[in-house]
Amino acid sequence: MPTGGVDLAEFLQHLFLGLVQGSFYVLLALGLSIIFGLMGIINFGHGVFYMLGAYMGFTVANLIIAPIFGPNIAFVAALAAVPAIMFGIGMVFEKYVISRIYNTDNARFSGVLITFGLSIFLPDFVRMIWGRPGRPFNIPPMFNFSILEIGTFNVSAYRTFVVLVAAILVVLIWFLLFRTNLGMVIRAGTSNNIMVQVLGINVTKVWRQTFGLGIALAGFAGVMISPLFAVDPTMGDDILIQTFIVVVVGGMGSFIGPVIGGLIIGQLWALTPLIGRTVFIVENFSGTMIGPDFWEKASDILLFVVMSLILILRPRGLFGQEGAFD
Amino acid sequence: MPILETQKLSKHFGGLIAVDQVDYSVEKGELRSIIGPNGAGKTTFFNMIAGDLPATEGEVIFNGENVTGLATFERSHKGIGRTYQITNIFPKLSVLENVRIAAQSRKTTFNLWTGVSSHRELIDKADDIIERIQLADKRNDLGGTLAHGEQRYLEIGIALATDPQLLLLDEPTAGMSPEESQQTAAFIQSLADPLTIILVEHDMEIVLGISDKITVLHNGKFLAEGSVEEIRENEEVQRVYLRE
Repeated sequence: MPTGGVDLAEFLQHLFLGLVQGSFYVLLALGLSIIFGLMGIINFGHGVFYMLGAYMGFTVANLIIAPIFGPNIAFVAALAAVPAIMFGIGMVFEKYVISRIYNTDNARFSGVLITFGLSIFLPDFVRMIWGRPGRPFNIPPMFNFSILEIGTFNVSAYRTFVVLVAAILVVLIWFLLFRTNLGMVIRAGTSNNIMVQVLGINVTKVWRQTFGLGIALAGFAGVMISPLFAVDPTMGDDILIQTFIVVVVGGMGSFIGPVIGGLIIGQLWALTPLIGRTVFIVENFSGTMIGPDFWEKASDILLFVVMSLILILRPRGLFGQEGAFD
Repeated sequence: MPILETQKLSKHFGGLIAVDQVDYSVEKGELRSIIGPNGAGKTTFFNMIAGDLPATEGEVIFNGENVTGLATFERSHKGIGRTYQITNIFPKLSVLENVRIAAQSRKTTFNLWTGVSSHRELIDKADDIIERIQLADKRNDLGGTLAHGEQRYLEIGIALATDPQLLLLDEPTAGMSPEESQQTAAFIQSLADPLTIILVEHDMEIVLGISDKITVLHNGKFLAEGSVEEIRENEEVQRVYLRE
């Protein structure tokens, strides 16, 4: 609601930025949630796979293709190549690392430790190869225009592209889950994993491909976000925590949960600083105004507050399903 | 040759002997029941036949093959299907999908990346079974939304879709009304021969009504075995049950 000192254009702008941010949350949270729902793996490596995807995209686009075919084709090539590369990396990681903990005692906790270890290892590995500082990644020239511009409300072509692609992917993932055989087995496994194994379905293959899929989605999100910021070894840290919040808020084991949760958290992330600094104009104890910095941090905290409230009211999250935790 | 045989099958949980050297033999096409007071070891014995529990000692022979060391899913592929005491279905899948995924599990080569409508024969098979378990009008309902009795039927449907030769039913009428139990008994009887069925059941009326032969376990031991009449008149069985 535009109230008090909030300018409508500015409000719409933040709403739009929230939608873009939410799109990234949705892509990451879907992968995280599907992997957790089926395999019981709480993937702390999701953020670094997203980061690795961004570096893969940077390498394919800026280092390999762009010098020959130019930045536009290079970016499209990266969008196509990175999910495939990350799908493979995800499957290899599942096969040689994750699969070793199946059917061991405390497998779930081992999963946390292994993927957490990866989240420590991978950023340094990336620094060794691509260098310590981040690398710039420009918006492809074909997207260098605005679709809509009213005062400070600016709908950039690239951000619009992000939202559209995320929407298409959500539809595709829905299709995969509800209209393919792999999806049926994934849903069956999420619903009653023991039963799937008792029936003698080859779960090894399904788990491997599902993990690969989740990682491919994370990598894809990494490439998509790169032109908006830059590629950086630490880029996956904050967003991982935010994605966990999305999954918890939306509810584990459901398809719609991460989608709605991602959009809600995206708006919270975008609107809190705006509403904070324009509506709550207050001084701190030393008599200076509380500035935008405060509200940026406050939005991080608010995410946790909202998550806590939702957990108190609905312990399984907004769309959580029975059984996903059991 | 019996379709199923156990030889001195035992299960120890620490110091507790749940099943003690049970010899058991079932012929093809029989409808058999295992009864016994609570804690007699019925479900433990059952779980060792299905593969859910490893045996401490002894052997399980299925179709002349020693399957003692095989896991549940391996035995499932050999032709041992089972249902559980606690209803075990996929609550978030439709009735059709529940049965279909079980039928799919029989195919060794299967392309997961194809549409669900691409394997017509699986859908036809699932629909046949859904017809048999009387859920045709709920074909597209989610398993979790079915009534309790319907879920038990669905579970049997899932087991049937795996093409079992031997079907193990663990208290199929648990939680059902007397009328439902009667219907279920008739349904189970209709499945027997060529299918071989072993039933663990508390409901005496059901057991006495449909079994070809009844086996009584007591304290993990084999107590008696015989036709319905023989078991009815067996004094030892009466003593065990009357004391309960």
